[in-house]
Amino acid sequence: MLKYALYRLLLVIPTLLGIAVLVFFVLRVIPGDPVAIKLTSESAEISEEQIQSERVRLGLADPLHIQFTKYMAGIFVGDLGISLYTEHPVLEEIGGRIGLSIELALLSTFLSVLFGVPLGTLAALFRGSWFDYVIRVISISGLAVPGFWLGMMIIMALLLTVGTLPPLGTTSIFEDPLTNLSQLIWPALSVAFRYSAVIARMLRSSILEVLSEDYIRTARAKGLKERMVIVKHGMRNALLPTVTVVGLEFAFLIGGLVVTEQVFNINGIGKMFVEAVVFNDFTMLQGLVLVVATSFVLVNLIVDLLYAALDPRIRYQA
Amino acid sequence: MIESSAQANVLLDIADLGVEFHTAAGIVRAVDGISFQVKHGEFLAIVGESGCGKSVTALSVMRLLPAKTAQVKASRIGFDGHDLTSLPEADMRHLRGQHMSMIFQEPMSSLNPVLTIGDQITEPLIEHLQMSRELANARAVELLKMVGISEPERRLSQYPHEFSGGMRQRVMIAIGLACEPKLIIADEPTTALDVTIQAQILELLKDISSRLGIAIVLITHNLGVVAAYADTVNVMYAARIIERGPAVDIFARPMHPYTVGLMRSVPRLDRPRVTRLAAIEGMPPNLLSPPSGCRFRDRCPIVEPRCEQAPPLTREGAADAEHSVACWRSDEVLANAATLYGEETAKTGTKAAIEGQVLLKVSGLKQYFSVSMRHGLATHHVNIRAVDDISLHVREGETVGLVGESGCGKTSAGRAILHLSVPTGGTIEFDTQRLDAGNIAAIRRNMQVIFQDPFSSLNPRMTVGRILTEPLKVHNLRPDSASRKARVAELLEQVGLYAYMADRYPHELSGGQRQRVGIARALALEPRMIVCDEPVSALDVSVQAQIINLLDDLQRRYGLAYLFIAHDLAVVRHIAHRVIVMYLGKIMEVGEGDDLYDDPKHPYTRALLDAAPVPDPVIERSRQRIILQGELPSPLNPPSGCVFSTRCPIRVDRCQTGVPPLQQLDNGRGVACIRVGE
Amino acid sequence: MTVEARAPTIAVEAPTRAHDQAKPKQGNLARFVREQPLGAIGFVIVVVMFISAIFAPYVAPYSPEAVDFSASPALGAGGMSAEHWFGADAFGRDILSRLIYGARTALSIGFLSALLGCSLGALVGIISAFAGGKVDILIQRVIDVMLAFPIIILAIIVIAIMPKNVFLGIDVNVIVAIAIPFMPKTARVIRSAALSIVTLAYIDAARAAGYKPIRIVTVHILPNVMAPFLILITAYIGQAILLEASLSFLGLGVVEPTPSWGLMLSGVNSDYYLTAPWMIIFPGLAVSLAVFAFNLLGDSLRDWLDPKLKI
Repeated sequence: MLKYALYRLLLVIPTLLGIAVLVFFVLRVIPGDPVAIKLTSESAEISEEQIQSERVRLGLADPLHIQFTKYMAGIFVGDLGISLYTEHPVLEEIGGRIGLSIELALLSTFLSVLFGVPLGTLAALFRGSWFDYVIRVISISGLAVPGFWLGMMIIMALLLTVGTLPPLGTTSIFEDPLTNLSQLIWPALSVAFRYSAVIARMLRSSILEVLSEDYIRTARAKGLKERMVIVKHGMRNALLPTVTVVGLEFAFLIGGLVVTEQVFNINGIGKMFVEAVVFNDFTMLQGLVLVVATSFVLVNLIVDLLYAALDPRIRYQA
Repeated sequence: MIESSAQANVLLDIADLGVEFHTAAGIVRAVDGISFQVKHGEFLAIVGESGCGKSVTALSVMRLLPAKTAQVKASRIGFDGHDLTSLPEADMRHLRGQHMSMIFQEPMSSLNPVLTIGDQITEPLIEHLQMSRELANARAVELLKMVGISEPERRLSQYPHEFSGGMRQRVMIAIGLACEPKLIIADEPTTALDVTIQAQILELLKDISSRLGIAIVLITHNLGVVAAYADTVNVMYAARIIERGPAVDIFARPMHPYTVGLMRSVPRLDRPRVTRLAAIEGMPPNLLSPPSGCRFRDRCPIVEPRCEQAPPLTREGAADAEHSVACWRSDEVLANAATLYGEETAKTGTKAAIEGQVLLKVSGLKQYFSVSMRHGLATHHVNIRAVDDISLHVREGETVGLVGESGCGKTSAGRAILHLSVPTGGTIEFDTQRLDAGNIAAIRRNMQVIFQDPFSSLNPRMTVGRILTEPLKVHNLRPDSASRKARVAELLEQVGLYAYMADRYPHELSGGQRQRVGIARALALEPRMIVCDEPVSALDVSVQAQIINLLDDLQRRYGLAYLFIAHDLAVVRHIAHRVIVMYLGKIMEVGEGDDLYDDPKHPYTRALLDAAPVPDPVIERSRQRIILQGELPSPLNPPSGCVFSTRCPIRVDRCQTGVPPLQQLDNGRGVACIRVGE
Repeated sequence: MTVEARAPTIAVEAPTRAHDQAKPKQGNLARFVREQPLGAIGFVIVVVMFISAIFAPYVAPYSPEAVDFSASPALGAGGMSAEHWFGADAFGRDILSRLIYGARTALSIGFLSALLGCSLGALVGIISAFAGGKVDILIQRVIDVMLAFPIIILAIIVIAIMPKNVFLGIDVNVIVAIAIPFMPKTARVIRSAALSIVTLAYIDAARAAGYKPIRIVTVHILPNVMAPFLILITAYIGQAILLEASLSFLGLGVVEPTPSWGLMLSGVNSDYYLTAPWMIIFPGLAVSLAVFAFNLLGDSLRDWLDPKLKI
């Protein structure tokens, strides 16, 4: 098992390097000159020398291979450049706001699992009943309803019932956990509606597939109690792929809550993405993309290892 | 209904069992009013082809059928004093796994992959006998020893994927044995296993049955297995029992045309070769709307108007108190069994050796596959020697049989010869032309192929007509669409299909019909040789004979040569002029026709022939067999020297020092064993 | 059916009733409706939407840009009434009309981007499957990297780097931005479908019969890959509509005056949540209904054509 973990860890490194390289080249395709755009949008009268000196200051005037070397070297020491908009180091800016996104992602995933697993299991076990039907319809709508619209509807509902908007703004969980949770619970719920649908559907089809396998028939032929057949023989096998799906969803949520953060005015990195595009903050965009991709790869690695720990077939591969 | 005089001896008593499945297409009566009994310690075999209802019968005894779709009705299902038709589920559960257990066909998927073997064996012990974990583990070790698994203590904590197919089946038997049941039902337990492993497993079952007094119901389609092990036989057809009795009697004096057909459609190793196999025409009836009267009458060679009335299962004469049959004309069947399916099927004769031009010449063929294995952090490549230096030749109009168990390399050899995979070494000459990537396209017309799996050998999106027209178009064999259409109709007729089937899609045809289309496709190119890769293994027994006869007829008519790849020794003996035996990529023995079978010289050939049961109880019971021990070595790590040495009963130290060459003996015989001729 | 006994020269298989009755599976609309009622419902909704979108000028009561401040909720009016069935927005524009015209944007962008993304993805998948070796590994790695991003992030990145380009009234950059995130998944699914087909016996038979590779790919492999392809496209049209709505909501997608359901939701002042809820409810419902219908259709298509497919 340890060998497998080491092997997977080593595999991650070239993937991360590949991502860094790809990001560098893709973002250099941007038409127009981000520096010029930024400066001219600030003041109409700006001279070519001023634009050029700004470019030099930001390191964007160097030939491509020098930029690349500086970029790669910078990554290794944690220097992702300076934001064109805020003039602060990119990593610092991201670091300040990523905590919130991670927390929101965790909360959303937790709620999704809380709702999705029981619903999916019950739908599978009572297959064909009206209950199953209802859950399936709910699942399909969960996938159809736009998350941000759901957020808006939640806000509207709160306004109608409680009379106030949900607390906007953000308190850190370390300062005041209760306020923090009261702020994040609503966006988390609007996200969880969709993802619990995904989990429920996945789990339902996984369980149904497992229950039609030969070894379930063997377990019944042994005269085991039905409960034991379903839980010990069925669920353990059916939950395996669900672990992967839940992990992947969490990984996607870290940067993917762009619209939700917008609706609920949460200062996470999703919102930063939009800001970076709107303000043509090229270095920020670059840094954000790197961070999101890296966190995805790392979460994926953890999920893979978790899966290997649970599935003996992977562990003992020759 | 049979009233046994020794009622106290009866363990399982089934009367008038019927099972209906409610499907989207309608109601299917999978089992239609069958009755039989099983005594304590008896070995009963239920024989029939796929769809006859034998598995459904077993599952309904165990009450394992899904309640929603299956309706089980019976006057009586009595087991050891309990009435299973009215037993509450909780009590039924106690019987299941404890007093009656079941073993299934697919060892690869019948065990839970994420639980240890020990866990799965101890489950019934803990559940039914309330054993403590320590006691249960101890018993599990005992059981593993009983089923012949070495190092049982270590095995307890292993997972199913670490075991081979044969070993997994032994584990299934151990699980079945755990609580010392009175009855074990085995549903085709060895069909997915190699013939030498099959022999081991069946011997084990028989041994357990006689030693521990456990009754066994074995479900199978293999008559040889039935003859070797069963005390009593039920023959099922289209959801009914059509003949029943002691095994010895059934085989010696079959009285139903279907039973006769089954027995005479299977090539036999113990009798002289028949010139033509008895082929039961047509296919089993569709159970959505079964024919009225006798269900076999659409295919029966001696059908008459009386058969519109379904004949009851009646005992034959006082002396035959145990033997019953459902046929109006059973006496005539008995009298004319040999010629019931045609005069031709009674004649015997060996296939004369073929003289003539050598069409295919293979020398030193090697096919290695590179596999990357991970060891810790490093990956290195290992060569699997699927085919390791074999040479053979096929003459015009000759059938050469290539026989061996799974992993012996026969399929890889076929593919290499067809250039479907590029050989690693050696030369292939067709019609004295050396084959290589350059001229293979031109030669392709002359060397065609038929595959094993009728399901995947036809493009599901093309009609039969399109499938057969394609080769005509690509190779420009007919000038216009009208002549192509005519040729397609001609081809269909030649393989025994109707011209209107050209408009059908493959999924609308049966397995046998699809295989015929595959043969027609091969014929379309007017080849001189056809490589047949296990063409009948995936078909029902009665359809196998049809296809074998068809191939024989086509060879006679067109002078085709066949390279016939198979694992069934009897089939190969029937159809081939010469036979080559392979093991782990190497040739063990080569011989002409019956010569090889009458007098096998290589220990592996002898073991193969020993392992294959013949459908004759008298011979089977008296035979001295050498059951080959051990498992097939892994191709990743073949034994040094003679590849067979690890399992060979007559091995000596010298056998592992060098690869034995193929010694040429008289009469075209070749043997690769240093101990032959000593 | 022949029943008399004879010694056959070649055993002919007499047809049984079941096979005479079997109908070919392809192209049977009535059967689809009967066996997949949910999918039929989805299909109907989609058709209705398409028709109203195409005939928008005849179906919609007003022009989507007709401004009428007297009907604006800012002035206390604009509720759901006989003149405005679904109410009016801050500029007094009729919401129902804007919804109908918005359907044009949603359906055209949704369909075109799903088609573009899936076609490119399928092409890449097939190339990857047949090139094999290093090319395959390289493509798989790039796909891995692309799959590391949430769909919306990928779309935003493309928006950031693509110049704005409106061609024939269609926002090309938005379409490309939405198409690209669908490529990697499609490539994966089609690649594994192609690989599994290549191992089937009828491909070997085609090779043994001497057919050229190009023929084998076009005649034998592509038609059998169509099923997963169709299922993917239908599934992705729904996702594309959602993505377009999200992007427009963020201000990164289509811009005024092009009508879009997402645009209708963005920038809604929080005051209007209580005073003019119809401005929020109906556009969201429109998106949900459209995606719902396509999801139903896609699910049913999968159950009918290839239940084992894992997307």
